[in-house]
Amino acid sequence: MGEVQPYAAHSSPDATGHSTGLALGTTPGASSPKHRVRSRSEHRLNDQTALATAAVASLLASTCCLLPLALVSVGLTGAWLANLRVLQPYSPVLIGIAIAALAFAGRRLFRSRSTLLCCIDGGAKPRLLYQATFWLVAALTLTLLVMPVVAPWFY
Amino acid sequence: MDCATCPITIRMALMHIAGVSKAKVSYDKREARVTYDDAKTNVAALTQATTKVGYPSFESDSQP
Repeated sequence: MGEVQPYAAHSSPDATGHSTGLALGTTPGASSPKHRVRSRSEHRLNDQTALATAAVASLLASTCCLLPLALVSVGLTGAWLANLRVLQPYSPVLIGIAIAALAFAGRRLFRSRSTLLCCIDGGAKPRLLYQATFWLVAALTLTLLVMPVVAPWFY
Repeated sequence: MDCATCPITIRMALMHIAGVSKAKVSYDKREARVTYDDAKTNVAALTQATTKVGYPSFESDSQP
């Protein structure tokens, strides 16, 4: 688990205006293994970055194949649609990145509530927004994966 | 035309044309077989429609 350094309890307001106070014992192992010595905002940054990466990757991957279909089905046509295929060679790579980033971002969602330090006094709201975004990106990525299999039925 | 949904986009564009009763796109052959009423539309309109969605086309020589 690593050494536990003596950590003075003090308050430091974070982005939401809530203050954190953590006092840990000086003897190793005195802290609960579930609580880590890391700031709350750092947790959130890592997960949000991963989720944002997944969202961007899946959106870019969808421009080559899903976006033209979506545009044409609402009637928005134009020869410029051919330019959307410029990202096509990178599509598998982008999908892979999206899956990996989603896996990382989703890890903490499926652990017990006590490890989600961000939500202890932040309430359910950050978790819900995060979850909603996560599932949206997951649905998009799943669509991208399933598409090549399902598409021939509509030819 | 390299991606899996391209044929769907093309088919959608073709079916939108007045006079087209049937359109079937083959991804393997990169070919679309269109059944249309030649009083209402023509090949030029068909190729223009596919170009308008980003997939220029031309009339194929192969026989049905």
